[in-house]
Amino acid sequence: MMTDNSIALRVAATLAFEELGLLCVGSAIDTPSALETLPAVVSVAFDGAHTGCLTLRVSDDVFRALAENMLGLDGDDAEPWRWDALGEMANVICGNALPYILGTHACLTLAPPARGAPPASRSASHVELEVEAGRARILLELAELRRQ
Amino acid sequence: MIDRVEAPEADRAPLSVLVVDDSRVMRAMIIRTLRLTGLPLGTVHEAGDGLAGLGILEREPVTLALVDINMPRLSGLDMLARLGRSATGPRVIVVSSDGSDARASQVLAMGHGFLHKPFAPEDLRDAVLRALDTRDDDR
Repeated sequence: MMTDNSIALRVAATLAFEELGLLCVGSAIDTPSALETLPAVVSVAFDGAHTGCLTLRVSDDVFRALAENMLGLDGDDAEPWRWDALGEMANVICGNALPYILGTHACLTLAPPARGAPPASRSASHVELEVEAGRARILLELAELRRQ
Repeated sequence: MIDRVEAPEADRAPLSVLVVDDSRVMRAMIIRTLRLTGLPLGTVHEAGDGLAGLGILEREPVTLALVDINMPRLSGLDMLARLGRSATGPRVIVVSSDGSDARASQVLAMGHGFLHKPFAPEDLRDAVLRALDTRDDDR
């Protein structure tokens, strides 16, 4: 069963993949894929009223399709753009999911996307989605609420 | 691929545009989408952060600036605070993935437009037309 946070991640990811990446999103996956099948990984840290990090992992076909759909770029020289496109996707998912989870009045600052993922914590929320014929997993870690 | 959006705006003077975003993918997407809107584009400048954006605005005549919020060195909001708002300055649309009401209210209170990512080409076109109409109203 999906938690409220997972539902928010699913809604934000679907919006981003479909409107920004021009990729169709299907069902949520109950059984997580093996990490090696999701080799492209970026993360976006955020700070402000809350701190945390959103990590986006995608399969290779999704990784390639993003830059091709967003910019019309393909081929070996598109590799740096693919990482930028994946980072922007993570940024947009993060920016859209957090208001659902933390409330619409929380001002947060998002760091630039970075390759790789921070060490996972037990308190993370996650969702894995079918994206066209590939997969995407979104994981959100939230630190304790800061005292004002 | 995105179809070209109908826009009866070709009789406007060419727009000199500045796109400020630390993501080169988003800069490229914004410029690509602007070209799809049918709006008459003149020179298009790009900057990767607020400081670089201010530098371009000091040197170049810019009609319209599309500005991200979270950027290194100088954020979009800090850039706009330094820029101020005048009838002769560029019209500004803040383009951000930040979906919070607080952020949108902050931007609107500064007198700028706000466009939420992700956006459709017609959303960008409408935001640009609103911003330019505001400019016309100021005159």
